[in-house]
Amino acid sequence: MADIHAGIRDVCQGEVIELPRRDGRERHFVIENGEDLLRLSQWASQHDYYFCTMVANDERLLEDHIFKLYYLFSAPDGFLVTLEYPLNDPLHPTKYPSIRPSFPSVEPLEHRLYDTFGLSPHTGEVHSGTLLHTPYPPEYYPLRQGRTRDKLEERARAYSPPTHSASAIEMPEGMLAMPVGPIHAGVIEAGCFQFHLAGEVIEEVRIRLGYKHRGIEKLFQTSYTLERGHELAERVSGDASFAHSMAFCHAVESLAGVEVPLAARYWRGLLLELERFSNHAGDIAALVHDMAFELLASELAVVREQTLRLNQRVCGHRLLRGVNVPGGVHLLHRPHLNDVQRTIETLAARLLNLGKSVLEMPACRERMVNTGVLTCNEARTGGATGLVARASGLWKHDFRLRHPCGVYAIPALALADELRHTVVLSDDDLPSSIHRRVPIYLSDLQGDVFARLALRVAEAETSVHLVARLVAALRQKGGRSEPLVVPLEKLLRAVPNFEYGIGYAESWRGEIIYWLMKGPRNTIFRCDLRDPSLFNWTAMRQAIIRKPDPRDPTGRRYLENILADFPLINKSFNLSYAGHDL
Amino acid sequence: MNLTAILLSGVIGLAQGTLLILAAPGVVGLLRTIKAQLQLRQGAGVLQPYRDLFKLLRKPAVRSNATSWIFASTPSVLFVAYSLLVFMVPVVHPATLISGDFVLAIYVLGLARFSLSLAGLDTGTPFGGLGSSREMFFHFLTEIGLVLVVVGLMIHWNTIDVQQVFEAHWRLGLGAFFTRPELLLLTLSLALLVLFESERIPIDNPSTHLELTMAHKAILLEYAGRDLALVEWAEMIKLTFLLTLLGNLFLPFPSLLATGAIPVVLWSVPAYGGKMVLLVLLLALWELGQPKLRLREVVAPGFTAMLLSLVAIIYTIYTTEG
Amino acid sequence: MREGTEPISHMARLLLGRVFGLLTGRRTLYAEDAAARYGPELARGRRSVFVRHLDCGSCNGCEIELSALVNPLYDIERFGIRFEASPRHADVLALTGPFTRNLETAAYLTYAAMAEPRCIVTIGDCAHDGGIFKDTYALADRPAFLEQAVVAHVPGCPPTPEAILRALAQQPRGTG
Ligand code: SF4
Repeated sequence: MADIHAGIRDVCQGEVIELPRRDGRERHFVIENGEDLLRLSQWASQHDYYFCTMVANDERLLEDHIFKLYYLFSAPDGFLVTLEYPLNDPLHPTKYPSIRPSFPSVEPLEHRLYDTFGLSPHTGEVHSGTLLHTPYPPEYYPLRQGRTRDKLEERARAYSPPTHSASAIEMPEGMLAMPVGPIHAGVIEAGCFQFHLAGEVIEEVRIRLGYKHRGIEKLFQTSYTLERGHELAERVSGDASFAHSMAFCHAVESLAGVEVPLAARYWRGLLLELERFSNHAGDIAALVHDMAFELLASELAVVREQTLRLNQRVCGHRLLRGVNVPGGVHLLHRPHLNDVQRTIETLAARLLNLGKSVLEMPACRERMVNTGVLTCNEARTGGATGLVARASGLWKHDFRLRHPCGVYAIPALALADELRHTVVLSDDDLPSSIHRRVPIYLSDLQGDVFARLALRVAEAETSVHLVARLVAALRQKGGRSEPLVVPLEKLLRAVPNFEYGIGYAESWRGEIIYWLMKGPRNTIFRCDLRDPSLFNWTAMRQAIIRKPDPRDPTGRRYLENILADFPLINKSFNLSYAGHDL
Repeated sequence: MNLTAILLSGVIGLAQGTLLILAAPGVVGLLRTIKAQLQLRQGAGVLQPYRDLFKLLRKPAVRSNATSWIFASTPSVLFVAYSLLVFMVPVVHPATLISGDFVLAIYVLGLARFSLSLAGLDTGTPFGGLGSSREMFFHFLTEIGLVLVVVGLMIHWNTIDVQQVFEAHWRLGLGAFFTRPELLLLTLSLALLVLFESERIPIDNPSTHLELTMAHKAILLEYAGRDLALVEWAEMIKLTFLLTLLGNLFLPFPSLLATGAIPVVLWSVPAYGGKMVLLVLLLALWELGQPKLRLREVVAPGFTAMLLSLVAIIYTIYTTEG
Repeated sequence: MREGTEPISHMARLLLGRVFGLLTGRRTLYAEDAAARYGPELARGRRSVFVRHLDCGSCNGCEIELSALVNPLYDIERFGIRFEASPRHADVLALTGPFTRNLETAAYLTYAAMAEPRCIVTIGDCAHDGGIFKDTYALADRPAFLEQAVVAHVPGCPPTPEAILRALAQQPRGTG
């Protein structure tokens, strides 16, 4: 039913061309008619499609001489659907129809495109300054082709921003505006939050990011090739280094049309799960620390540190950098599987025990339950993703299940089985082969801080089970040392220029998506990347502001958060500023 | 009393108060070290607060142009206020430099808080204002609680003079003390209020880095160098004072009444030290073993403290009438 | 997930064990002996250094290693080093990230708020010369007065916590 062809047949009036894709799980359509695009996106939103990203591309120097937009959707039937929309209106070469009514989550992307490309939607407001703040001259548009780094640098240098006078923020009667940031008190990243307070209650919060904008997308295009881009991808968001480079490599590999060697796939899966475990441990520790529960927090911090040291032993880098390369993995030495297995098991035992005490303790529950609630509906319409979406009850939203690739697509390993039982639907639903030390029930996933913490514990446990399976699989392959990398250079050269590839990986935050277009001589013509944080920042705002409690039939009860709880909510989301700002 | 006796008690009072002020950073250092050790860390050692203060005292104070004399004078006000308190309580010898009653003590605490809150507002930063408002919120709970404790003591002993109450407790001794439920209730109440007044877990987290959860620390964010040193030191003195009050008033052992006799002083010094270590250990355990309360929920322990005092008061009235 | 039912929780047992260990002295600390690991000079810990972290556009890898310093396995507190919430309190500014344009003003203000004597320690390759981000349009030049205040640099991407710890403990001795 949810087949996109049906949708096109039903709602599109103009011509829609389907272009073949090398990967059988991808589909590509060119839609010339803006009305059709809007109708189709509406159809998609009704049929449970998930909007992944919108990629703009400056193809004015290519044969079509226009900008193009690529909308990427994840279909419930397992396909990745790309809708290509050329901005072919000669009167408005930089205007496009906005799919905001059907997918509100597109909004931050629209603002972003305005800053980086100068594209704006026909309807719906966009404002500049989400990525490029006042130090940048107007109409900077760094991602347009032909704006070289030197030219951009020169323009920015020559520009002296207007000295802004601190203007009072207009506030409704009785409310207080409280700007916080961009520099914060702890060892955390830079971003600005502006609260509107009524007493301690947060009525509204404006999240202003972009401070850390480093121009990464442009940097991919100017200074990196397809073979070396993973080095930069690892440094987009350091806590998800491995997932980022994996997604990048996946994109390159799908461009080249290769599948990496089996052992390399095992290793990738294993390390991805290690990264997940490590970060979940760190997050749990940080959250407990924020509740000022120092004893448990420091125990958890030890677990976290041990995972980083394990990373170091396995591949020589605490953040798992330098392992992924396009075509496979690069390991300095064959790591000791026994060490991995044993370490992770002891760590998991400690983590789960500690996590369980936190989750069970009434004083902690009191702080977490009903704090920062993101309802299931809000998560769905807001495009929330990853762990945040799952904690709001959308427990199936996981790219490892939706679009299995790499190790998750190997049926013999049955990793999906483990994944599907991260959340216990009911006690008798649990197969005997799956053991849950800290069972988290679907009813726990109410979208509050507690749900996110509980899910972190549960996912950490799942990760450990997955690691165990992968270690077993690697052991079975035994000493047969097959190469872990396939050389890609030649294959890539054979790929026609201006072909694109999509890569993704389910990081511990959610899916990371890379969209790569090949340029001449294996350069990167366009690299667009979407960190899960992008959508989840919007979701976090939703979770913080004061709103009627949807679970209350009378509609008189409100869900509200006080300012002092903001750090806790923020930590429970733990989004990446760097991944958002690029 | 003759002149020499007055002089002597003055000197003793001065000496033990001064020593306590000087020892205050050590108490905090001890608390931090115990907490670190319980987390299986080495910790910075008991002397670290001295090093910190020493360093800060040598740094110039940086004050934002937006602040006025209120901000500048608050560190001194805090320091003087808390030091005054220290001179009001007997530590290892019943003599005190200043004699006063508990109401005075409460309002000296109140003055310090008030001054700090004003300083918070004076900075003009959002955190300062936030901190002030929370500070006042806590203070509202503490002050009522403390007054009730004092009323409890007054009804029981017919006096609120600090020294007389202390003496009465010592005369009672530890054994008899535990047979008086109203005094035990007051002890619990005061213990809770000590947490409130010194802003420790579960009320506030003294070691937090999260600007939005801070109450007290939010105001301190703007102080630098010498100012900061004074404020921090003042805080340490306050904690030491509160613990001393708790220890000497409600663990009346050994009796300090046999004045002058040097052996007794020699015996009471280690006893006092032991009591402090015990209290600090308990505080460390308390702080490690539970999370901070949600800001609004701190009303609960506040009311609990009040309730305990109230019960003590009613009990006293009932038993003495009957 | 249900509320706890066990009579004595994992946490209480943990705490009791710790108290027992403290009183009897039968326990091992998490961190290795400081003198053995870092040398007696560093381990003496008779210093007081307040550090303020300043993010100038890092990838957050360096933040991970900075925050690792406070865990019991490094226990930076035993060296007399403490992370502070306010630049006003700090002696050392631990600067991470390549200095993006958007953060220029904020970084400048942060440094200006510190009391003398003050200094900057740059952490991670990209805080040194832009590192991997060197060639983008989004980086600003560090103003000369910030540049002069830099007393040490910890190379690495990210540097190990141990390297950061050494740098923080050694350099600012003159300022402490
Ligand atoms: S030095 Fe490396 S790890 Fe540190 S912030 Fe820069 S890119 Fe990230």
